[in-house]
Amino acid sequence: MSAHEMNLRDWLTSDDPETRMQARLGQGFRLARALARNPLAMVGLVVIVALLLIAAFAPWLAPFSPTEGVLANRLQPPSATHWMGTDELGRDILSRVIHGTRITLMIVVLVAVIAAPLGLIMGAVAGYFGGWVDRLLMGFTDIFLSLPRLILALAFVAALGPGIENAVIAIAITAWPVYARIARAEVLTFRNAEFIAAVQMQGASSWRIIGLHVIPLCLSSTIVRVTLDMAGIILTAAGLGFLGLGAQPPLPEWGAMISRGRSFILDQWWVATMPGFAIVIVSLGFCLFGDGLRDVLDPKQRSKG
Amino acid sequence: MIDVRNLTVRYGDTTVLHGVSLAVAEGESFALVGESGSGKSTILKALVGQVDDWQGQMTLAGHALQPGRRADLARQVQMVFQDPYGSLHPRRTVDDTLAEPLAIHGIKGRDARVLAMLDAVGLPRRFRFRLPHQLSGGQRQRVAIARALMLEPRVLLLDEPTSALDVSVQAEILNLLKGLRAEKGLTFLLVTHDLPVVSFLCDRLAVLRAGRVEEAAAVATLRAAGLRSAYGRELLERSGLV
Repeated sequence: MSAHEMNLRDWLTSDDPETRMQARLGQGFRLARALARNPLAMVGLVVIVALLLIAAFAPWLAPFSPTEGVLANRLQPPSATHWMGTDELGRDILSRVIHGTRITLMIVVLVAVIAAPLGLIMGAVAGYFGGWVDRLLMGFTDIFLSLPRLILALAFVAALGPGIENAVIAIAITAWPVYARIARAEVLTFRNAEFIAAVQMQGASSWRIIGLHVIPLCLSSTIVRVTLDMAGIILTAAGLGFLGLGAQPPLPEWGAMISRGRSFILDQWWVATMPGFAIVIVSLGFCLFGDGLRDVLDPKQRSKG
Repeated sequence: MIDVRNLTVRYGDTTVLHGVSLAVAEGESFALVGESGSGKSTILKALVGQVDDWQGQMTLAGHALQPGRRADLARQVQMVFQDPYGSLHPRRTVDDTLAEPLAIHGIKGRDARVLAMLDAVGLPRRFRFRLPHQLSGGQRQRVAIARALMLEPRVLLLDEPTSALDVSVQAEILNLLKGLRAEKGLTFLLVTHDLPVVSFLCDRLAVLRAGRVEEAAAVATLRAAGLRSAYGRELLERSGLV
């Protein structure tokens, strides 16, 4: 057993991989091993994995319905039956927080899927071509970048109408310019490198160079940045929910829950506090994981100390 | 094979090359010698389309070049760069780097070609899936030479291919280049400031200074320390060949 494990480790860390597959797995293994040495990153990873699991099994984990309550039980403090208490409609807050993970996760994933590739492509194209393409794309990016994120998202939601999908679109539209800026700055550092000149000389098209040679080099910094931004995205989504422009009742969105609990914050503190805890823990998880990821993927940016 | 006439290149207000002319025959190995800033690398850059703003006539492997237009001569001309640390993509394995030109030109039988090329440049086959940071400088330069030869070009432009390497490794790379040239009948245009390299690898040379050709000579003249121009003699003295 242990001999077999040693062989697997040797196989993964071999300096002379025999196949493409072994080379890729080996790189992944080295990355995972470096990440596992960072305890805070592992805490972040645990939080994220827990979020994924809770979201996947929400209907089985939640003890009560997230949308239907018993009015006789309204505003009960935390107890053995209602671990986080109940809200003003007698709904179990724990069940709502558990179901809320799905909404949070959906927002985070959709924003990442829309904003990161958009920003990455914009930045890579601008940086690679330079000249008027760069000025045009970056001018466009700067317009979005110069407006405060929440205000811009508010404006979009106001125009598109409240709702979770529109909130996602609004946040994605406000999130991509940062990735474009980072990707462009990164591309400029190796735009004139000889390995780019070499592939140009081989007759590769600009799109091939951007797609296969330029973007892979920007990928790690973008992944790090997206992970670090997750906390901000969750907070923006919660902010929109709090202002009544995100998820609509009776959806158990954490920001909207805090908003509802605001009226009772002095006497029934748990109504607003419990979803607040959830937001803090998940945001912190993404931050810690992103920090660890940066140390592994982007050694140049490593935080000092 | 390479014919450059009256090549003038300006970077903004500074003129880097003043009407340089040179001709390299097929199968010949020609050296451009001069200090840094003499414009020798600029000639290579103009030939491969890295410099757009030039005047004069250039013919490469029978194709007339146009300023500002990158001629599709990838299968005729390739280049080996000076710095083996900057010329390989840091995230691509040796295999990726060597297979890329084949993929661009839709050439079949990539595995066999990559392995054959590793053998040809003297890299062990087990290095095939290594990343550049797992290779030494000399090994990287072998990869760069292999990459340049993947499309079987007739002309190889060499931009100080050994000056970033250790002395012992330099000799290996020079021997490799000499062997490859004999084997494949390549035409070399070599840029260097190292006269012993010229004497080892080249048939003829041109001495460049401040963007002008001071003197063109056969390598026998160099070996006999017979360069005529004042600057040529200065270079000879500095490299200890006199």
